[in-house]
Amino acid sequence: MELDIVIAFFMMGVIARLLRSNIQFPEALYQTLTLFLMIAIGLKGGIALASHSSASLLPQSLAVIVFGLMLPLLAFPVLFYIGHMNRADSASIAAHYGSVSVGTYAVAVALLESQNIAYEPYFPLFVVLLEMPAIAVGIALANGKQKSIDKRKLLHEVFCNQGMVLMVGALIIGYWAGDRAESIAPLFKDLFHGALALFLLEMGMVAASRVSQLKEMGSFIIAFGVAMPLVGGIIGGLLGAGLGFSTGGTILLSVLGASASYIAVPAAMRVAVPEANPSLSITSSLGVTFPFNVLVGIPCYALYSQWLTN
Amino acid sequence: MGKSHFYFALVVGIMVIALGGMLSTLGSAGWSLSVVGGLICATGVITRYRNRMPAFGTKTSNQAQNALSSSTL
Repeated sequence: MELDIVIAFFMMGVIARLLRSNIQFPEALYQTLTLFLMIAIGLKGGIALASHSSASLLPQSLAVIVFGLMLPLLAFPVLFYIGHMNRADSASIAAHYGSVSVGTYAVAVALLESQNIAYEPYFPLFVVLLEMPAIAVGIALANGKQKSIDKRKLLHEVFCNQGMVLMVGALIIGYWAGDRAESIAPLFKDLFHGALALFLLEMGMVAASRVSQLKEMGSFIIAFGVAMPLVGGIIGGLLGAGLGFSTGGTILLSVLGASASYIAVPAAMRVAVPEANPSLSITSSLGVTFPFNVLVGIPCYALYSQWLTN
Repeated sequence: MGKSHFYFALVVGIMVIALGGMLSTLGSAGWSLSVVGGLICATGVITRYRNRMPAFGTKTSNQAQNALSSSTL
């Protein structure tokens, strides 16, 4: 399977940063692109949900939530017992790996569309569903019951973070509007790949800027940052095939299982587990797992999922 | 770096190489996974034995320099 053109922009970002090129990517533009991608994905899913909603969605959604609960439980013992990290850091990183990355999902969708591989169009619903459970498990693993957390603030972070509000909001708008959403399609549909290319250019530069921190953290975090997405991807693929998804759907669930959050979870963990070192989790998810998934992982999950479903 | 980190990196690296090898029978993307596995193993070894590798400007080269300067003295 060939790499999608948007990946070339990611690589350009990495190379530009390594060459210390003075590319100025405005923070506001990065924010705008993030918002754009979330709205575009949510809207697309909502429109699809309006025409494809069925009773089978309920068991599928439940299975996806259980999947989201399970992933941090797999990651935590590795980080705690083998990585010898403290409880807070282990729980925080585990939560990052149980949640999902909208950027990685967008890359996978772009790849499927460029290869004309069909997938269940309501998948953004699963992206939203996978965002939350890992945060709850992460907090429980960090032994949240014994601490005095500002629960109101925490619930606000979990349910009202920008990713959740934008994706759920766009999903509802898309579901409500149905075909009427075609009027805004030129912005959110036609420009999707171009916006993703710009987003990946910035992400490439961000990922490359984490290289120096990786040197300090050692090989454990690199090995974990590659092993965990592979485990999540394998389980996600099996679950997708077991739930009877199409090849494209199985690929997407595999990618969702493999991805690690770097937007919603860091904000929630900052409130719930303030003693955790955010640098560890962000470097691991953004410096190792995101580039790995984008450059190597997604084509491998696609091969694996095609093998599973055929 | 602790022993457990080193062995973890080594085991993960070898398993990723094997997984990449298996996937390579389905498509060329598998090879890139094997390369990643190899890099993980190499990173583990380099991080573990960095102090003994003169190429990394390390203990060995410092020891050698010290030995040289003491012998000169």
